[in-house]
Amino acid sequence: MGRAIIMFSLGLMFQVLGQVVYSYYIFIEHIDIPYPSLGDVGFFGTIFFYIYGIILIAHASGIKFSLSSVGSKIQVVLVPFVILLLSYFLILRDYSVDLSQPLATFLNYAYPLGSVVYISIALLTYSLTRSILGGTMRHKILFIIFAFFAQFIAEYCFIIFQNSYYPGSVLDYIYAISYTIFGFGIFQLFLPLKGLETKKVDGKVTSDTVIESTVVNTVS
Amino acid sequence: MDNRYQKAILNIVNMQKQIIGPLAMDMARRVGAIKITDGNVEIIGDPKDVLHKLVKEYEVLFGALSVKVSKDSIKEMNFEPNELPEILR
Repeated sequence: MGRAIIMFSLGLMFQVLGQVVYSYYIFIEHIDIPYPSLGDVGFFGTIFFYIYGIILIAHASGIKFSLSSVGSKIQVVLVPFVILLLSYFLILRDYSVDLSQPLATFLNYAYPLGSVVYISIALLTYSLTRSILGGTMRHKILFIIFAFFAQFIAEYCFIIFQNSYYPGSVLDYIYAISYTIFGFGIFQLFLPLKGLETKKVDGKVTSDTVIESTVVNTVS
Repeated sequence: MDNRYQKAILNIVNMQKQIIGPLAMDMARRVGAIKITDGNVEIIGDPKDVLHKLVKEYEVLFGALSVKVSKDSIKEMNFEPNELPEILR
């Protein structure tokens, strides 16, 4: 779980990198955002952290216990396929391969496909573990999955409507909302884990409210 | 004392560690009747009751999943049903 939180945080930091670079082009250089640019290092780099982070969440949510049934195996194939289809009809079918701009062409396909990967894992995590996942972490993990969905929506909206983008447009607003949701998701995921840590007081390990006795007898 | 209970506790804690990291050890120590130092486990009191408390501690975080993970971690240890608390049968 801790590693998942770190991955999500790094993913968001990379988004910040992308946003800062884009802002530099817009507000300092006063030029159209080049594509690709250093900002794409941030935005594209995010995808790897998000994918690894959601894999860790899926593992923590007990997805391996839910993969034995036929229905689950069907979902594992169907969910990514449906999202891939969605991606194709919304975005990919309008792209063509332009070998004179290999990096731009690569990113054109990699952005939507990378998003397909992490949102598929997120949706599968929800659908395959909702019957087994419980306790205090259940709602927090579900919120993180919702945060992924918000981020996915923001990214696809930007890809689809990027030609009409301008600073302060509704696309920026959608991104701001998704970042807020994601940041809050990370924070609320982190809090219960932090609260359960034992503390050291005067060299003695303690729980939240009880000081453990240092003299114990083992019953044989 | 039957060492299997100590091994069971270690297995459960190590399995939970794969999900929640070092926090699993902290939560095991919260049980109070368990003392874990350098891989050695000391159990104070009835081991069945201690196992029950340990699993209940983890159940707070992930519910039925934590119980399933705990059961999974000791399934190779060939406990008889009456040797285990009800939550792990």
